[in-house]
Amino acid sequence: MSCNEDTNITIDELEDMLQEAKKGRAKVDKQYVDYKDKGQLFEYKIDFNEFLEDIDYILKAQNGK
Amino acid sequence: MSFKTFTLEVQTTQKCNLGCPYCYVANRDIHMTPEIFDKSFERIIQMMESSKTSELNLSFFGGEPLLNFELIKHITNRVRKLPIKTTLVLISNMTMITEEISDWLLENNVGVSWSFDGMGSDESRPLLPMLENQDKSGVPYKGILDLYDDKKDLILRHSDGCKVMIWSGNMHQMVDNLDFFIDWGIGHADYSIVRDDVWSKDDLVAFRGHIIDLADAYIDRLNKGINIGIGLFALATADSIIGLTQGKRNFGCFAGINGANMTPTGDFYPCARFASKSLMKMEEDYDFQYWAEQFKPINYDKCKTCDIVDVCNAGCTFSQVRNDNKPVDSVCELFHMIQEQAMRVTHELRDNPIYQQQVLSYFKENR
Repeated sequence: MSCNEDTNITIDELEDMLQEAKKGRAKVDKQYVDYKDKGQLFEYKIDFNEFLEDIDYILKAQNGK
Repeated sequence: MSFKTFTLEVQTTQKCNLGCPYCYVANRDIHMTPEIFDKSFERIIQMMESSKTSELNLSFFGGEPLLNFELIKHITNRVRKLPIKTTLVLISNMTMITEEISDWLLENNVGVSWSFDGMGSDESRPLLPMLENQDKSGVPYKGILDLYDDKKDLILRHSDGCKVMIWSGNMHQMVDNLDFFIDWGIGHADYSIVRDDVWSKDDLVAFRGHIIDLADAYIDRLNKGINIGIGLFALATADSIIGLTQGKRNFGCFAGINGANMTPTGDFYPCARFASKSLMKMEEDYDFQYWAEQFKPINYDKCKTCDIVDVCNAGCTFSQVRNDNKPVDSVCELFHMIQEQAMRVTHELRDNPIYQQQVLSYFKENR
């Protein structure tokens, strides 16, 4: 994870940030591009909202909340 | 843009005891001397000042750096006297590890990044006919896996993870290799894709099948209680969490913005890839701030409309410079595939305690 060494955060800070991100404070509601126009080979299922829910769920499970 | 850490790759030698076909470093008898390192030492301090960094992460690089172990000891003694935080890492194939070297590395707190291709290593990492590739009785090893069997315990003293480069030639082995690593006792298989413009359309189509299979296997092994991590999923997950909560990071990698590669002759380049082509030699007046802007991922037009822009690091700076300073299309496609599967893994394993611990470990390491 060395690429992230200049953005250190603690688990507690991350939990707070996740709540903000789920409210749309982070860039999670971007309109997805048209894959065909982008010339990509596949249409990918990339759901950032679901991902944030999953990470929030994991942190709560590990912290017993 | 400010960074805390300066990353310095010191190319202790260009010589290697392996003949890997994909390696970009010329295998030549050119070794750095203590005098060359000492002569350039002040330049390293100057580069840290001009890049506004305060800590040093120095990696011993090659060729195979253990072919110049005396220099490693010299540099370690010199750097440890600096009044700043220093982290030292040996980037090695570990074929030349001995008890003496192993003890010294541990005593001097020098970490190890072990490059190991796994089950296909006899083909992808052929031993060259050198004295270093013989056992204690002078008999040449049959292959690198034979050698590793002899030195496995010593290697695992230093690292339970290994770096595995994935390219079109070995992508079909990713699942079988995962089980090979599990049998070996390896806890983290750091699969990393080759981020050059070398992937054909057929390769990409095949890769998608293989990465889905790898994600399936990862989910299956963790659900069976086996604790193993996979680098490309871990990195995508960690980068996604950071990107979605803190915003897009403003750098791709250290090359030329908060780091450099020092060649055996004492010259500096942004990283070993640049050095291998003598591209962008860093002269005394090298401007880190200027190049940080040039290489900032958000400045690439192609990235501005991409759906994963916030969580992607845009790939390899060297490859982009060689591609009119823009991300390589095939690598963008690969990143989408990895991103998609990393998110699927997270969703399907969110109740798995082993996976939960792995996710937390990404951040505990950064505390």
